[in-house]
Amino acid sequence: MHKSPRHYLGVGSWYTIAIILGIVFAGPFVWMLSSSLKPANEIFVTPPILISPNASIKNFQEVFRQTPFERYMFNSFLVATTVTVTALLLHSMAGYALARLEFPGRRLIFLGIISTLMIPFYTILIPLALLVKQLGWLNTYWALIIPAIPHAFGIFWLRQFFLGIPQDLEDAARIDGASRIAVFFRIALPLARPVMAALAVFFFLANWDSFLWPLIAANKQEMRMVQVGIQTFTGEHGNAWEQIMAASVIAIIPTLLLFFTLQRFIVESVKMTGLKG
Amino acid sequence: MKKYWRLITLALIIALMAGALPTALAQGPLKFWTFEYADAVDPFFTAYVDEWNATHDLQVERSEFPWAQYTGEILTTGIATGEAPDVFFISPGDWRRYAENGLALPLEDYMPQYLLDDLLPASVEAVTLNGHIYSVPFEMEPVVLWYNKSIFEEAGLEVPTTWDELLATAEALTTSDRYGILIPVNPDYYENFVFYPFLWMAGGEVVNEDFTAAAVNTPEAARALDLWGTLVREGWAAPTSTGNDPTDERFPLGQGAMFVSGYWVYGWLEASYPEFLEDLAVAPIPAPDEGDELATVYGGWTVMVYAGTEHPEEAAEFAIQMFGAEDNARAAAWGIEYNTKLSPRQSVLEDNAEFYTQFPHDAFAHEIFPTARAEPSYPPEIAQTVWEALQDVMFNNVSGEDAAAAWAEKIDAYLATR
Amino acid sequence: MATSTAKAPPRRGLRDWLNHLSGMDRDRLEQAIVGYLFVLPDLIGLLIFVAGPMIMALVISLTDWKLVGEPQFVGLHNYEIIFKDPKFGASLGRTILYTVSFVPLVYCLSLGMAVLLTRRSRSNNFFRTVYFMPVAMSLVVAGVIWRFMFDPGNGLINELLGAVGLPPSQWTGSVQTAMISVIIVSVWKSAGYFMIILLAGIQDIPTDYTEAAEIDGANRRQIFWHIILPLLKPTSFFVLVILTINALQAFDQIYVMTRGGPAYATYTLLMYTYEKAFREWNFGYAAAMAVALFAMVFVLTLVQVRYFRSGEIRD
Repeated sequence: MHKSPRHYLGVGSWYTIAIILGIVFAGPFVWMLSSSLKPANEIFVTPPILISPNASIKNFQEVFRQTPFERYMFNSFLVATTVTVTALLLHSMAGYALARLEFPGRRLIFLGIISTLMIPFYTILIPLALLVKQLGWLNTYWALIIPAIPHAFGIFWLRQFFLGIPQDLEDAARIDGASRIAVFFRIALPLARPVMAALAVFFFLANWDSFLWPLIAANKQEMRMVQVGIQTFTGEHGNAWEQIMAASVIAIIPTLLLFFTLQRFIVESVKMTGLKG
Repeated sequence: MKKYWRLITLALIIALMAGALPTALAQGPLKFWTFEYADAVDPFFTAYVDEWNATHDLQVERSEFPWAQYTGEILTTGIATGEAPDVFFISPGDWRRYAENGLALPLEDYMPQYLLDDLLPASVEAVTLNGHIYSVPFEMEPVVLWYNKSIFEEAGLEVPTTWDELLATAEALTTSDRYGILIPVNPDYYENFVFYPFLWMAGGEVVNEDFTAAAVNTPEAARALDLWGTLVREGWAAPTSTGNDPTDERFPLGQGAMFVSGYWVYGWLEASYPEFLEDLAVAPIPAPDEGDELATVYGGWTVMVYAGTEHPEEAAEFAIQMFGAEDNARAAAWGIEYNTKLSPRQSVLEDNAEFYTQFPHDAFAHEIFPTARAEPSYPPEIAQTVWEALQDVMFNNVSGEDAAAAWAEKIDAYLATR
Repeated sequence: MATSTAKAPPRRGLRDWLNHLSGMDRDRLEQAIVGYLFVLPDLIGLLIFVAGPMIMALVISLTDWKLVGEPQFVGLHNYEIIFKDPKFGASLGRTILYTVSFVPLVYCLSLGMAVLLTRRSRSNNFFRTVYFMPVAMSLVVAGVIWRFMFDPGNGLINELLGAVGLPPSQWTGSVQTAMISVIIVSVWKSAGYFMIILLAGIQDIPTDYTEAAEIDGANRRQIFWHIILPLLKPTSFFVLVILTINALQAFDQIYVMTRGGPAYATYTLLMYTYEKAFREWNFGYAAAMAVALFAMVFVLTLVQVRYFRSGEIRD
């Protein structure tokens, strides 16, 4: 095992640093959480009121009364899950091939793939909207799901990961007669669990919260996703902050839950088990 | 082995479906787009659309879009991809571009005479270009000086009526945890909008009447710029924005004594800060000097018909009848029941005389309204020169005179390219 | 570490390439077939949904397309304007300033947090989730809360500074400090994200290396500098490339804080591109700027690839 930084920092200073950082990072979250329970006129009072005497779940009820928020959550959930699962499979294959398999044009393909990261989404918004319209996908789940799957980020990261796994593990399997595909699924992929877990969180988050593309691709109310739904509470003259806060609290829960559950895979030392087992 | 191949084939199929799923979109109903209105306003549209759909073969479908993206991403992409709405709300900031580029259907042939007689001439003029009426005005939201009565009473001060008094009052009311005044500081259309009355009252204009040259390189424009510059540089006005300049939360929280904003503030406070209404008072924006003529600006969206619509007759009828039906009940309800806005139809003021005796509607209807002028519609290239001049005096220590000169230069450079 | 020993085939014409393919031994052939098969789905997707639209944007950049009417071909005219446009230069300068501050800050902070929380324990689970919270928070909400915290009048941050005897700052209310303020918020928003990537990267380091070093009497600092950091190179490379790309495309996280103000102090290149496209409908020029930005990021990434090549792959 790695010895923890606690070991040499000392438990006291370790906790001091961790807690100070924690306050900075969680402060606005606590503000949001506390605001979601408050009436509008208490949200921006200075100094902030942490727990309001008027706290209630009224804002949450309003969110569900004013909008079909459960529908937005369903859409976000469907899109985010489908994209995440498909993208994990496709990206891990691509990342593995780019890192571990020799084939002509590999470097060029890799450069081509990461160069797509350098395109600001605003630049391709209108061409992409035209394309999706030509495909007849406007206002369908296809429009929300399919264009979101191919993305260089995951391919790039998985490639970087597969570059680092020890060759002997694969060689051993190869000597036993396993095919390249079998090596990928049986040896390489299980080793990638930390990265795959982290990517699952990232993909889910990015698609659960995606805003600009769903806004353009689907304008029917029943096709809206969560972040577009939250924007319902903004308006011409001011925003209904109390409802935005409540809706944002609801929206953040699935991602945090997913992260909390998956993080044990992110920090597990797979390599250790791999080498000794 | 086989299992993996099946998985991969499946993945391939998913990726390849990109080209394989054609669906023909049936020719849709009449599309009507607005930005997102508050929940309480929705019934207004639902009722009208339902009523229309019950009595017409051509059905109307309404879509709402987030406020912040409505005119930028949404309308632009809609037009670019051929998905533009038939009828839509348009802001004064974008109006001219649509009208000049032939995107708006001229409506004068569809406008009934009673409506033309009822609408304020100035509001019709604001949507007219080269003799064509390009949209239907339906709301007016004048800008005023809101102030916190309690803070003024405590300090023993009167509401300012000249710019000198405004500066002195703002200074006197500024404390360590309160700004004397709140003005919009975000570089955006809204900042320009609130600034125009200051410019006009000083005697300045942005461009000349023929739209051929800048009119801002004047001592008058410089004076208006200096006023805003002084307020921010001295720390009497908040140099930051809360993100919502039209409804700055710091005002009802007692962190700002005066607030230059519009009629909507009342509706917003009623909903979100009801207890603050006791402290609320309203006055016209001060004029530069004693005896100068008062002026203010009114904003308001208008309803436009897309020139490319396949159903011009129906679209025009739908757009006009929304607020321009012979019975003005709907037009009145829009301003009184669903919003705090004035109607450009004079009959609404007359028919609801009693409502317009109550605070603060009385002041808006009788005192402010007669001094109000429609928000001018400038192309974005000119609009940005306005907030650039303001940002310069407020944040870059540029004098009003220099800022006005640079401002004029930019406008002229743009006008030369038209 | 990475030791793919085979030499990449030299790049030649199609015929040579086919000959080469058919002349391969069975393993090389299998690698090539599986390799293409594995890459193909993503490649097709990227070609259709990203590269295709990008090529359309490239074509648009050679026209004067203004949304209305037929686009006219204007050659490289839009690119010529870029070099004469002071606003482009100024927003590029600010974007670079933002990038050179944002990238190292996020990298160091997230690496520190990752090292702090490497071990599996319940309290680490808790802190990791806390550090991840800003990543999951919606920008609109984070933006409004930070705006209020940064308020120069009675914002929370100035109050706290006052409490420990430090002078207040104007934060987003002055051209001097606005950029610092938006960088603080951007770092706060992103650090947790890159912490996760680096955490996963640290797990990737075989523990026998660190254990061996410990047995040899290396202290923690030496282990970090001489074992962990070098072995983290592939992940660091990835993080730095992604951070740089994100920073050069900075828009939303700044827009919710300042709208690019005050007085353009935080106005980035992408904001300018957006304004040209969606506000002025000057799509030709906007596309040209996007292509220019793309070219710059591409060159920068190539430099990073070169720099990191040594420790990453030998082929």
